[in-house]
Amino acid sequence: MAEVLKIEDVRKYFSITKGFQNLFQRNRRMLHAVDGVSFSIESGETFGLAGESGCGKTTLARLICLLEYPTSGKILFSGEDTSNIDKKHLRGFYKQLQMVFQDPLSSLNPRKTIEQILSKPLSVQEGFGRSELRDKIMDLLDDVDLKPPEDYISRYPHELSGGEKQRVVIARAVALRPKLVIADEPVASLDMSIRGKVLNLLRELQSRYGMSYLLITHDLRVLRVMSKRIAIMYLGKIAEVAKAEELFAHPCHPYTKGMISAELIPDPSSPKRKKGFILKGEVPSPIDPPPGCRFHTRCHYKESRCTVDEPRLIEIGNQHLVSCHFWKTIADQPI
Amino acid sequence: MEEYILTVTSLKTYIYTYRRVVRAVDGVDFKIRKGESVGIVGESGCGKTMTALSILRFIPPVARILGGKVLFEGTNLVELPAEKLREIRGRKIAMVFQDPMTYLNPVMNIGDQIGEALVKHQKMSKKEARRKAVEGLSIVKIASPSDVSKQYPHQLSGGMRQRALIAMAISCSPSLLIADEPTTALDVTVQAQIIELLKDIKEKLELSLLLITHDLGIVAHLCDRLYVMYAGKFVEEGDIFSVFRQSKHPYTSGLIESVLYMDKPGDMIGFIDGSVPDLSNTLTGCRFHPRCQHSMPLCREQEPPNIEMSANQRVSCWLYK
Repeated sequence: MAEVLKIEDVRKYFSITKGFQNLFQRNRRMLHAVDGVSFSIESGETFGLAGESGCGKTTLARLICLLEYPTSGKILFSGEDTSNIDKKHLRGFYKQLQMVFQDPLSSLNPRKTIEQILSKPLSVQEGFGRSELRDKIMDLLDDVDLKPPEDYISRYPHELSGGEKQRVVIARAVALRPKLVIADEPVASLDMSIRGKVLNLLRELQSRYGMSYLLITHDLRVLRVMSKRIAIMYLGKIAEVAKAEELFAHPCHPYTKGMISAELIPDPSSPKRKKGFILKGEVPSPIDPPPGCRFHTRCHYKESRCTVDEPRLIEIGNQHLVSCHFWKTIADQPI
Repeated sequence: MEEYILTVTSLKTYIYTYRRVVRAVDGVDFKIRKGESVGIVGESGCGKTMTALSILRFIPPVARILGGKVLFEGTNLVELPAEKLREIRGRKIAMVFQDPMTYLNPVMNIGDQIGEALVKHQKMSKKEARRKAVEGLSIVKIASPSDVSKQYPHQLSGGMRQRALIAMAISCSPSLLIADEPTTALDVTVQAQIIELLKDIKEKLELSLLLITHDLGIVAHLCDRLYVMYAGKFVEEGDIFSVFRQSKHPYTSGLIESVLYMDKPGDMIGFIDGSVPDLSNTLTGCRFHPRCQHSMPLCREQEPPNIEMSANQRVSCWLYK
């Protein structure tokens, strides 16, 4: 299958030594937001990216969208290196790649009606005339289940509920039938009862238009139902990548295990109500990440080797990659 | 006879804005037994936080408690004069909030903040209060508590701040702890730690706990009983086993169906169509009827009665009449 997106050893460091000091200090302090990440997304699949806050997942999304440029490494979109894309040709690039962000209210212009919001990409990119536009927008609203469309077309964002707003954002993202949609925490700000509606919609649109998704979230349960493959990120690096079923059935990285067991199952008779496997501590600062394995400060299985020798991401079969020295013993431990 | 530490009856709290009246809490009844943990579950805007705030009259100036009783150990907190109420706040009933940074004083070190209540309520000397504060920090499992007690809130991570806030809440050994979304601002792995901590503390200090949350998973782990709130009213109540296994109200069932599970990915993800009604409009009949699959003409006209389904479960729905 063709690859829509391929990321090769991408790094992004932010300098945190400010202004004047920059000129003189030889060893500038760096925040290692993304530190050598590689993966690829095939066309038509949903690739999930999970991690806690500060692990670099949003920075990675911004790098792919060309909102930031990587310090090193390559991002290939449909086989083309995105660093070669001229500023003038960005418009053509965004026709094929669209984004959905967490907070729908801040991604919609409060002074524009839904019609104006949705007509922008269509008129700019496709050059539709006024009469065609109206029909197109009606179809779009129908696509995202905002029915009847006439009721919504002249409203302003504040007149919609959270779920409806997010559906407008999704309509705008799919308007141009992009190859890849990057969704950064698309349901995190929504209430439980409407979360399912938006997730179902994303799946339906994917099967209708064959887009790929990069779904970024901290919620493993969302990824479990949505994605084909999942990558777990920790402090700027990928800890584990596997197919969804494989990852939940046989997690091999201690961090993945910790994440899975931290999910509280809404069932009062769940055995975890007694006592779960709980990770200790919190994510260290990405400014001076721990040497060796980045996870060793929180790991239950830490050995002296982990503090000096950084594990590489190795394939252990069945498209399952893990970066841990002791994955073999850890894989057998119950969660 | 069972002893109730808190009994709330027909509590009403409305918010008066410039043009509208928002009926945030519109007649709720609930009870908490000694040593019990009770959860109030609902979506954003359903009035669950206002319910919690009304107990200690921590409501914003635009809100008013219109009626009802909050009986705590025999005293009605709604009518209690402010000075008397101050003796109960923090000392007998303590609160933990969602965003710890907002509730910590940024220019006061952690130890002094925890000790402040002890100096006020228990007339301790400053030195003694400090020692107690360090002790409190070790109860909430902060490593090197005496160092942390000298630090300021911005030097702590999110999880540590929440621990410090919990230490503050339990410093005067209250008999009731109200926790309003205590883990929503935290990462999942840290959330698991805090939930475990709350469970621990509750057992150790024999606290009663009122937990306000939108997360059914937290309720299932921490609570004995729960109330499901929708648009200012409770629609269902019961012990967690009854409610999770045999939810009666269509809203509760809808919520439980929209939960995502890690071990069983379904083809269709459950959801409830429509959105929460605007509480400033006059709502007639059952408040859930516009979103309800089983809606009948009666539901639109009359408010459903509160029906006892079993000794441990009550529901407000016309389906069971």
